[in-house]
Parts: sequence; C-alpha cells; structure tokens
Amino acid sequence: MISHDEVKHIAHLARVELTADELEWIGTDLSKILEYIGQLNDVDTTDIAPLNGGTDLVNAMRTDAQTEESKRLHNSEESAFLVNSAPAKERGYIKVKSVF
Amino acid sequence: MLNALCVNLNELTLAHARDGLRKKEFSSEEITRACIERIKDTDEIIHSYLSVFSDSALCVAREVDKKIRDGEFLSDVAGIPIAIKDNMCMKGESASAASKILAPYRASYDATVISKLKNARAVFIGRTNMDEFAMGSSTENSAFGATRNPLDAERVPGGSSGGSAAAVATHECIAALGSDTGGSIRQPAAFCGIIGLKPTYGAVSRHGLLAMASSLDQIGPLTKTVEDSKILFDAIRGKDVLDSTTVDSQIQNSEFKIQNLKVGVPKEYFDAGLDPRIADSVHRAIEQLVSAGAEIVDISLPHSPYALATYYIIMSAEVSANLARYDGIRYGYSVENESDNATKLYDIYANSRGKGFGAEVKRRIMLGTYVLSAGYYDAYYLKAQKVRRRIQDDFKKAFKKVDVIIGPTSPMLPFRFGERVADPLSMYIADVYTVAINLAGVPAMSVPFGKIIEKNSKGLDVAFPSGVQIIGKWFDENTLFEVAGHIEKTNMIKR
Repeated sequence: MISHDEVKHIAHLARVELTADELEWIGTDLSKILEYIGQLNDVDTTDIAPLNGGTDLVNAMRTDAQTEESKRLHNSEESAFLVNSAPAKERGYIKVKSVF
Repeated sequence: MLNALCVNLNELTLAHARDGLRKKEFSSEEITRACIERIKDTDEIIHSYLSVFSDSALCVAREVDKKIRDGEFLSDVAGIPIAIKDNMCMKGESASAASKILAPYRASYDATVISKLKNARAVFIGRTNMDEFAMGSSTENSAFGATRNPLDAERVPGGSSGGSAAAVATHECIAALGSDTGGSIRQPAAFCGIIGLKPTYGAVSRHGLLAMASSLDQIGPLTKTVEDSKILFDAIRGKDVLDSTTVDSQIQNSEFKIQNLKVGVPKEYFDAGLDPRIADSVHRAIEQLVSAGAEIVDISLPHSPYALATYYIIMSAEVSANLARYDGIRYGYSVENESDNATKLYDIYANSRGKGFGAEVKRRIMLGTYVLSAGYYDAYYLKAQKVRRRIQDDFKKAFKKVDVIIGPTSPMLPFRFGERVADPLSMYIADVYTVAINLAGVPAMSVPFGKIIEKNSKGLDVAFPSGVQIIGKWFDENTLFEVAGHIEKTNMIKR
C-alpha cells in the first residue's frame, strides 16, 4: 500500500499539481497496479543483463558539426515561430517566472 | 476482388485506387471528394477525425491529377487520401495527441513519415482521434470525445489508434497511419475488422512522432487489405538520420513457399483469459495454412504471462521522462496567462500539467515517476529490463524453430463504452497478447478472420471478425504479408 504522503511526494517529483480527489484515486490505483507488477519477483533474473532499448545499435551519432539545416534555421522565420509558440516571450526570448 | 467501377470511390482499396488513377478511370479529386462526402455523412456519429483538411486535400489531389494528365509516372500512394493519427507532426497543422495540453500547439516541421508521403504526393485527408498521448485501448481517453466502432456504434473501436482504424473501416479514407507502443495499431485493427501492421522496431522513423515510450513506439499502416499494408509500409520505411534507432533496409526478399512454412502456436496465447470464440477463429485461420501445406509447431513463450507487468513498468517510466517536455513554458497549454496563482516557475510546470493532462496520462506519469524514483529503481525498473531480456530470448529461441508465430490479437471482442475505463487493470488486459511484441521489437500484424455474432441493444445481429495476430522475425515483414495474405484470401472465400 502506497501512503498518501508518498503519492504527494511523487506528484511533486513529476511536477503535476493534483487535487485532493486525484491524490486519493491515483494512490488507490497505484497500489493496485504495483501489486499486479509484483509478480515479476517470480521470474529468476540471476545473471540476466538488462535489455534497455529496442535495438542492438550502440552509440549511433552524427558528426559534431553545424548542419546546413541548423544554419538555415538560425534567426529564420522558423525560429521566430518556435519562440512565438511560447506563452510568454520578450525580445525574441522565451520568458519564465523566477525559480525561487 | 472488387470491381473498381462497381463501388463508391471511397470504398476502393489503395491498390485499386492506384491502378484506377494510372488508367485514368477516375481522378484523385473524385476519390478525395468521395472520402470528404463520406466523412460528412458518417463522422458526426463515428467521430474518427479531429479535423478534416478538405481544401488542402483537394488542392493536392488536383495537382496529382494534372501530373497524371501530363503523363508523369507517380508513386504508389500519389493522389491517395490517407488519414494521419493526431500524434504525427504536419508543418503548420495542429498535432495534439488528443490532449488538452497540446490543443494550442501547431507543428513547426513535418515528421519523416509525413515528408516521405508528401514527396510521394499522397493526399492528407485529416487528423484522426486517439487516446490521449496514445495511452489507452478504446479512444475513451481522448480529450475531445471518443470514437465509435463502425461495426456497432455502442462499442469502442479499440485504441489508441481508434480514429485511424474507424476511418479505414468506414471508408472515410483509403488508408491511415497509426502508432503502436503496446498494441495501438493491431488491437483497433482487430476491433474494427481491418489490417494493422506494427513494423519491426527500427524499420520506420519516429522523427516527428510525439514520443510516448521511445524503446517501444513504432509507426505503421492501417489498411483495408494486406496488399495495401505492404504498399503503405514500403512508402514510409527506411533509415533516417533524424531517428538514430532506424537501420538500413534489411527487409528480406527470399521466395516464399507456404509448403515450407513453419507456424509456431504458443500455448500461452490460448489461456483462460481468451474468449473461446476468438480462440476458435484463430485455430480455424491456422487450419487454412495447414491445408495449404504449412507445418504447425507447438511452442512455448514461457515469459509471456509476465509481459504485461514488464510493459507497464518500462512504458510508464519512459512516459514520465518523455512527457516532462510538456511544461507550460515552450508551447502548448499553460497557466501563464490565466488568472492562476502561479508566481514561481514550479507553479507554471505543476499547474499547467495538472490542468492539461487527463486522468490516464496522470496515472502513468505517476507510476513511471514512482518506479524510477530513488529506492525503487532496482526493484521495479531494472527488474523489468531483465525480464524484458528473457521475453526477447523466448522469441529468439522460438524463431530458431519456426518462421512465424500465430495467436489472437485481442483476448476479447470490442467492449461497450464505460465498461473498462474506471478500472485500469481491466483496460490494460486488452493488450495482454500484443505488448510482448513491442518489448521484443519484432513485427506483427492483425488480420480479421471469421465472424462472431452478437446482438446489439436493439436486438439486431452484429458480426465481429476476430483479429488473428501473426508475429514475424526481425525485419521479416515480407513473410508476414505472405501469411496474412493467405489468411485474408481464405477468409473471403469462406465469407
């Protein structure tokens, strides 16, 4: 059973404001789901390496160089479009509230 | 099969539409108009679409018609009205993933699948409805209202690509794209009686797909026939520098002979949770392959019973990370300009997300954050990754003995609205036979077979086909098309 305080702590970590009602039902649901998930303890995973992706590729990287695309985007209408998508902006920058 | 001239143009298959366009039997504008008319007639009830691009679709259709008149040779999908799930970016259009938090968002670029189809001159007919951020098995989690099943409007179309499946099934388009993280193409295809393909992980670029769980997500086609599925898959697959998980085309082209086919039937996929009528349909579909000379091999995928629990840990962990980008700062819904008492940065994050996300999305973000949090990571997330390895090993072992694995797509027929949405575990069970495929990264298709008759609330008979799931080796989609094509053909004869 997951406690009310624990649900609140997780909501804080996840940066999601939950109503009292939501804290209640999400807590109940999480407890049920975690109980269901507990069945994995029946699987022997001794010496099994974790599978952490859908592919066997390792370090698929592009060269660390400015692309033609990024040169074109710099100061273009498209970058203005991106800034304009933000709810608060000033002089071409995205504006945020203070951290503290 | 169908005589192209005998049906309404919106009812054509992709292959027939392509052939008819090339022979100038009709124009792309006529097909597009037929789809738009159909949407006007049916979509008030079915609600497959979140928006319809009537003007731009007709404009592209006329351009294609001109090129055909000029004798230009065009691609297989040129002039074909295709519907797009609302989680793929189309420059200048909304891409909301059926979420309130992205309702104000306009895409600033094209997803790779979109630019491929644009270059091939496909006609985008509209954006289709889905469960919010592709989380769900019924489309009931859409922030903009559910989609109805065209076979019986009292039932769900499946999900999360329910809008795409319903649009294809009710001929509001010729074909559609969906995305599949744990069954979201195959299960709605099964519920609506059409073909759905989840390609091999790495076969199709996800650049421009609003990410849900990146180690599982794949884009794939929802179509009326198996042939159409191959055409659309060929139009979107291939390596893309913008998605580093994609690989060079490894699709094998060996000659297929059904007499040489070994079909694995896993005992774990015919357990007590499966509707016995669906089990019967799947067995009858397998018999069609046997009578054509295929060999049946009884196999075991011993870790299948753990797939759903493994999936819910890994998927929700990746969801909690991927959806952190919806923060009320850069785009989408924000409390910034509302009379909200948000005074600090934290309040903007938490309040925008609290108001913008729906119930299922919150549930999964919370679960994912929990399993990744200090003290629980090893017990849940690391454990799940290890079980995932064992699930993949089951498939590797099985595919040493067989060419394809066949089982049901869904354990149940389409359910009625409201039946499962309140209890998350009862909804998650809908994906019990599909999630292992995403965990292993192999390709799988759902093909309709047989008919199960049930009464609707008016006492009338409704026929539901069963979804037969065919699972293939990594990058062996071609064998899936061959096997699925055979099942499709025998189903039509028997019908």
